[in-house]
Amino acid sequence: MTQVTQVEDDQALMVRIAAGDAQAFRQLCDAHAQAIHVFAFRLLRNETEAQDIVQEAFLKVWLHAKKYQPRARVTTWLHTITRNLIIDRYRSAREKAQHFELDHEREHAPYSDRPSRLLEKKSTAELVAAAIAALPERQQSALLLSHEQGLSQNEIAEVLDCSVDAVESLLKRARTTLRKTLETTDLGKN
Amino acid sequence: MNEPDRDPLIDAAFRALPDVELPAQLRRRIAQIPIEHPRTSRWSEFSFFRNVTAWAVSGALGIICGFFIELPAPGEDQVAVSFPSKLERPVAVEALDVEAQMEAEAELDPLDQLIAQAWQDDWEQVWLDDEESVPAHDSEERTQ
Repeated sequence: MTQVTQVEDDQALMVRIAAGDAQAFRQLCDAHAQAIHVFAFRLLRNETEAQDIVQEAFLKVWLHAKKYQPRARVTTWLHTITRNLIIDRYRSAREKAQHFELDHEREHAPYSDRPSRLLEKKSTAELVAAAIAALPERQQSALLLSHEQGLSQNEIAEVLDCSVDAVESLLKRARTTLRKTLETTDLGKN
Repeated sequence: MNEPDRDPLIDAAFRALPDVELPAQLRRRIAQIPIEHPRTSRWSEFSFFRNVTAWAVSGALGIICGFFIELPAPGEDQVAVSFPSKLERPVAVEALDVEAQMEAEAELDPLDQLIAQAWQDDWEQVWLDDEESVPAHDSEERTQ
């Protein structure tokens, strides 16, 4: 299916979902749940939390379908909802950590490893995942949305609620940091 | 629009990431959403009103027209049915409070009112002295 057809289909589905059509909702889930789950899992690095977030995101779609504006692609809207839910969870986790003075390591990025721990990772896959997770959240999101989710810079700007220039800057910094980490690994030497 | 430059190393890194499958359990949980959170369709919202009858009367003032709308019979799950009784309650409670206050004031003679006022002033003074128990912004507002 071409991207244009998918966009038109998604928008048609949203109209039906807004009218309470459960079948249309299931079709939208079939089309996007996988990608949204990957995005949530990469950011959270926790399967249980990722599942909760994905369920919550689709619940919001079902309940607030009438609020959807066709000026944005449905997938952009879905990623925005998902990221906002993850940030809420992140803030809640940080408040708890500060309250109990438990988790100093997670101050920078609560669901990630510190860069100094990356070398302890065994497989390349683990190392890449940990290196991405060590980036600040906005850089991580920009990188994942661009390289894995296939969103354009305009769409990423919409999800992150910033300018396209800011997205370019985030991507540049993310790639530089990631490259620096990966150059010392087998991936960088090959 | 400037799209990101492709970086072979970053691309290779993303290829190295393990695939993440959508768990069947999550698929089921999402499919349950419309069942667990049923919503009425737009059509059923509109069809709430039944038997709409138009009427018109011609007279000295011209033609006056309107509609008779028959509401559905009350049902247990219809919020609209309980709405007027919910609306009445706070208004009634407020009215009772005002009446009770007026009655209490009417019962006090001028000397009693002075004593009551003195008690009230003392109490406020004690309360204001206890600064530690009052949030900063709150105490500022009260001392002004």
